[in-house]
Amino acid sequence: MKLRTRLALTLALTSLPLSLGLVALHQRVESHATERSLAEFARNRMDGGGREQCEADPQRFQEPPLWLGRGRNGEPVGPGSGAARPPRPDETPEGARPEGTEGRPPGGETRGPRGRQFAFRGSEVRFELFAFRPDFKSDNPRAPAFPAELQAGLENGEAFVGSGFDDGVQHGTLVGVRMPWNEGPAALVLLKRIESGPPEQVWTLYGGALALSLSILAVALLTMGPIVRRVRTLTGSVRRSAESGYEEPVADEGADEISELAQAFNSAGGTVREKLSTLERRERALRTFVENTTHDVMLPLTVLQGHLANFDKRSEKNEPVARERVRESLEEAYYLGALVHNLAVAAKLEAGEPGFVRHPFSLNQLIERVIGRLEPIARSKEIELVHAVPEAELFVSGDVTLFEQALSNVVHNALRYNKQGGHAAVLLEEHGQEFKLRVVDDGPGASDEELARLTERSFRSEAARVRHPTGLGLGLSIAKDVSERHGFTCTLKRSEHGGLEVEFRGPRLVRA
Amino acid sequence: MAFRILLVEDDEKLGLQVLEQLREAGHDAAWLRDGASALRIEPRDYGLMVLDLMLPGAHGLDVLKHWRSKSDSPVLVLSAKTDTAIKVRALELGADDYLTKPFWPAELLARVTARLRRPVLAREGVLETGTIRVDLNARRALVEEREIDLTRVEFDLLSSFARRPGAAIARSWLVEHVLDPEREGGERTLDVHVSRLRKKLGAAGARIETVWGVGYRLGAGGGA
Repeated sequence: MKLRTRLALTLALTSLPLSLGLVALHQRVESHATERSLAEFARNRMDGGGREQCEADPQRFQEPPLWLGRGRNGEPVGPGSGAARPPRPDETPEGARPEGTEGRPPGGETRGPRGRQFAFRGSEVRFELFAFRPDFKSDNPRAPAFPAELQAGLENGEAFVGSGFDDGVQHGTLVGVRMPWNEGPAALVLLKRIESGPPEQVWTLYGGALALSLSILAVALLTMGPIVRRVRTLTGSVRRSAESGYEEPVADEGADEISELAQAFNSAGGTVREKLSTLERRERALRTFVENTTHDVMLPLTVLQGHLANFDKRSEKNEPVARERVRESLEEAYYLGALVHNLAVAAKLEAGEPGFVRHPFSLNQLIERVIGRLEPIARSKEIELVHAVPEAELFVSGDVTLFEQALSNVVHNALRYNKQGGHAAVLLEEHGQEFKLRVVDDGPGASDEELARLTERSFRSEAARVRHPTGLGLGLSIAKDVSERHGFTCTLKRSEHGGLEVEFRGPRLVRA
Repeated sequence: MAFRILLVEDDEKLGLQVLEQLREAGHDAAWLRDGASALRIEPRDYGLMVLDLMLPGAHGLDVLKHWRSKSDSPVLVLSAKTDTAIKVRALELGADDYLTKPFWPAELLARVTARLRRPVLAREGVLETGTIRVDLNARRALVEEREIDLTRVEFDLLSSFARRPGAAIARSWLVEHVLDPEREGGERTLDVHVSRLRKKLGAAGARIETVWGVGYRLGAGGGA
């Protein structure tokens, strides 16, 4: 449901019954008050001589007296009509009447040729009073029948019962009152308040209530207009922003809650944009990397397959297999494993911090594992691979998988391009609060130009994964990247033995 | 020296290969193919266990935890995972070492041997390797029970080597820890001291090998 419709419905459903209910309540309270004052008036009248008059002449007793009633037709009005009319709660006196007696209504009263009448807001009010016996029968033959509705109420023990009446000719209020003495011809009194003129427009009150509700509704809807418009504009703006991949900011001028909402959208959009671009970048890099690596894996696999097929053929013929081919096969197999491990490491590096686990590990053990892994290759290539570690284990904090791969890559490089009879050494030393891990070889090394390129190159770059450039590839780039992530340094230089020297340095863990 | 070694590996080919390698190296190797049966063995019956982590029946880490509750026998974990957290968890649970697949037969044997290597039982303060005996308290060195007269530096050099036979020791470490800091001492001075020590040790002197790019090592020597 739209905001405006919902507001209109809510307002209509609450304000309309509320105002109509208030009007109804007002009517009810007012008519009850009228009835009560009429009842009091009747009682006062009967107390103040009415009872005696009635009991003296029950057949003729009525108020106003018959002659006065006729007075309405031109006869003079006598002073004996002490009665007046009861007050109405809402009427205002039209003039001060100092001689006013008890029971005399405060309303205006005119005496004219047409007899005694009360002017009341442009309408005339008359009263008729008849006395009844306890059995609801009147001695006065002119008395109307006691209305059944009022009779039921009085029989139920009420002191007075009232009701409105409207017989098309006359309208007003009828009140039946039980007198305290409750006997004789004046045990009960029926008082009729007759209003001439048009009946009071109850519906104008209800109409007013309706109009009030409608105007509240209209004002609310008018106020809602600009708000709804702004929300719509904001919606459009947010949609445009989303379509543009949150590049376009959500526009909204102003300094209220809606502007705050726009600002919240903007900052949320910023976060989403950031996440999206990071994810896109990673996804792109990784996809390229996987594609390239797949290509890289196929090459050594092909070489390996070729060698194995060759061995198969030769063994079938009982011919000796070439040692060189066996060596190559071993190295291709190692290379394949290393490549897959490097791929995993690259994926981890791409993932950033979440993939990076920090914990203390022993460099001594790590070096022994790396040497153990590469020793078979060194042996088959007849390269001497040596290592030295301090007697006391040296611990550092980092991701052991990543750093192991980094060192493996560097040592493998030292072996890969070395010649038969060459050397490679891994040397771990303690330097105060630091460790120094060097990998030295006497292989072909690298030119200054190559060294410079290696220090700049990222493992993601195309050139880094080229399988056999003049020397160093993906492995070294990963080693550098891993070192940086650990806060270690990885420097490359020409070794004093003519080959390459790679040095890792970083803080060691000092155990208490 | 032969040991009882238990291998827990579910892959037939790899299991068979490792079993073969261990037996060829002279060990008494047994092989289990699943985690559930690995939970039932008595770890104290074995000198070393080689445990694959990805097992049917029970996870390798659970097996490791169970074994550790009963015994301190060395456990070598095999893992194809490049996930550091698993390695760290394995080490925390008491694994002694791990090997990442793929590995070479020689690599496995080297790790097994390293774990089985027992410290040389000798009297306190006495290092004995082959024909060489070094008494650290008395500061005496003997070769084939014959006392060798050594200078302070030569004795410290020999004891450094004898403390870790087979391990290469960096020149820089020796210069820093063995040479007299008062005197001028560089790597050349060290070489002179080593050369003298070799001569004094006679035939055993050949065991002090120069290690390329590193320094020196007390090797097994031809005769030992």
